[in-house]
Amino acid sequence: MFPLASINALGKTGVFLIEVLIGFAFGFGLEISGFSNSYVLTGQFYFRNGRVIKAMFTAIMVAMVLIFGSVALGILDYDVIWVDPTYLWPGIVGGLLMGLGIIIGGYCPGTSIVSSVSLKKDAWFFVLGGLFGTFLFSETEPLFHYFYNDSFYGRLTVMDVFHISTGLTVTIFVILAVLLFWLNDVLVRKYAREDSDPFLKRGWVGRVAIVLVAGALIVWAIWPTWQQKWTRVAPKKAPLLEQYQVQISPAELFSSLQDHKTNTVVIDVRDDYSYNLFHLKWEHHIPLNELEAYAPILKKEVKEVPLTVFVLVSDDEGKSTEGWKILEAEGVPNVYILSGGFNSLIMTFGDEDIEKGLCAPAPSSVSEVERLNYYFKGALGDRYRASDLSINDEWAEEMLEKLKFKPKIKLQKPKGVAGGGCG
Amino acid sequence: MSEKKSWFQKLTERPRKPYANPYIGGAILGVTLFLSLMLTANGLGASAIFARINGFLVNLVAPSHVDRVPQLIKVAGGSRNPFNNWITFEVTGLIIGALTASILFGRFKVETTKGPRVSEKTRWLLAFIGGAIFLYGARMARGCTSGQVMSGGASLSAGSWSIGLVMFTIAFIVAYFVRKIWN
Repeated sequence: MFPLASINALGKTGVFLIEVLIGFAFGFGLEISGFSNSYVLTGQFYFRNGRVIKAMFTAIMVAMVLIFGSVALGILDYDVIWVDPTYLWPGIVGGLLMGLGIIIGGYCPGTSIVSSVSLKKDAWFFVLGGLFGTFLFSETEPLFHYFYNDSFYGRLTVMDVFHISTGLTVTIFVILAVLLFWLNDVLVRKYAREDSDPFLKRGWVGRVAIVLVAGALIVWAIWPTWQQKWTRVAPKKAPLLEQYQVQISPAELFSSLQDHKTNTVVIDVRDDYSYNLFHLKWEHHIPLNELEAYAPILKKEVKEVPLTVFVLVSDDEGKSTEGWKILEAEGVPNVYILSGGFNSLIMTFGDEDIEKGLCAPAPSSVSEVERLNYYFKGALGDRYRASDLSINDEWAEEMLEKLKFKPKIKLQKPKGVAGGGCG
Repeated sequence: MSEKKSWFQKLTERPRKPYANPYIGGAILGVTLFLSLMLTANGLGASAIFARINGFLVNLVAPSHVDRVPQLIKVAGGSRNPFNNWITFEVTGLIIGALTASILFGRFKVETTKGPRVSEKTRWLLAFIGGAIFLYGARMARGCTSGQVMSGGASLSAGSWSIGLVMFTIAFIVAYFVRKIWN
């Protein structure tokens, strides 16, 4: 499974050696694309040539199709690779300054290094200016430290923002890029004074369009359903279910809710009717058919609050086991199932409610999968004592003393690289 | 008398070849970015090396100051070596790659690239100012054209796309007002 660095297959020296090779291709690619010359580079902004748009968006689209194609095939773990976290407003202000800097200075950081190496004097001044700008930033950042760390959305993807599938997103981006290439050529033909771009021939946009659109459509077509993803992880994960390692007792859920060091998120996967009848206070209600769509949000929660554990509950443990498979297929860490579901929870904590007649054991004591074994007088939601297991009162203290269980929850650190990008 | 040319002169006087098809150049960059994410889980980067050189230089002049500035602590705080990072190796490769391509295709030449209407000295001054503005912005945005627009763009980061859109829009708008520099 890629990326290789995540499984420590390369070691530190290996990674550094590969970085040199990657840097080599990066520098070579930038130079041959025409970016070792500020006049050629800025030619884009006057449509003397269309090189920046062509090279840059081809690079982004080719990489995008390859990345998500590999993710779809299950050979690349998207949760591990570096996706620049979103700090909206500092990003926008930074983007504004970079736009200004590129047209005044004629380079960006990568191209200024490439041009400096190919002995362009103006690039040497850009690099010196760049060092000065970096110095100014580190000295002035404390003045707006709050702003710099504000509007933080974590690892936010375009799919999270627009709630569309990855395959569709890639296809839309590729089509937009092709339209941009076409418009770019129209404008270059209009404004270029000399034949500065020998690659303006009409055929090129068409060829690029065919390759990219075909790639995006393949990504879209082969994007796996959660069932297909489950088949991939089943050899490793199914034994956990069979050996009963992820089904926690009501007592362990209670103890975890009482322990405020961990962020215990209870997810109720039942339908609305059962939810209204009885549910736990502070829990999240995500019906089973919506659970897959929530997976990215749950993964973000684990990244932001590292000691997060998800406990799926349903009337018994049929639906919650199904939900567990969905979340495991989608790669959500630290997911557990409440063993025996609400049946077992009410049996453990519901004495008082039963005494008050709020609920009563069903006449048949035969437990079926996904049947609540208790009758309720009405839809009382969370107005039961057993509904609020996180409040720490005398009763809770007593219960904590009384209940014994073998702990099964083992918290894992969220996946992902520690640093990356231009950090 | 005609002197024997030095090796350096020979390298700088190779015949200049035209630039490659930008779609092909872009495809090479795209595959490189993909391989980078596949192998190292990191994207491409460039502006980070400026931050590390800055940390290194400030640490030489005023080591105690480094430990008081959050941005410098990150790269050179305490006994941290600012160059002990993947970016150092990537930029080393970048330099070798750029050197190879520019020598191979005859673009390895001491010159100032500029618009026809500005003097060399003006161009140098503008390059310095533009560099300062750009890198100030790149630190603010936590990445530049390579780290945010390319890497974050390809991995579909929402923030990276907003940065890229703002950057290109502003560059196209301001280009009109500063057209004397470049045309």
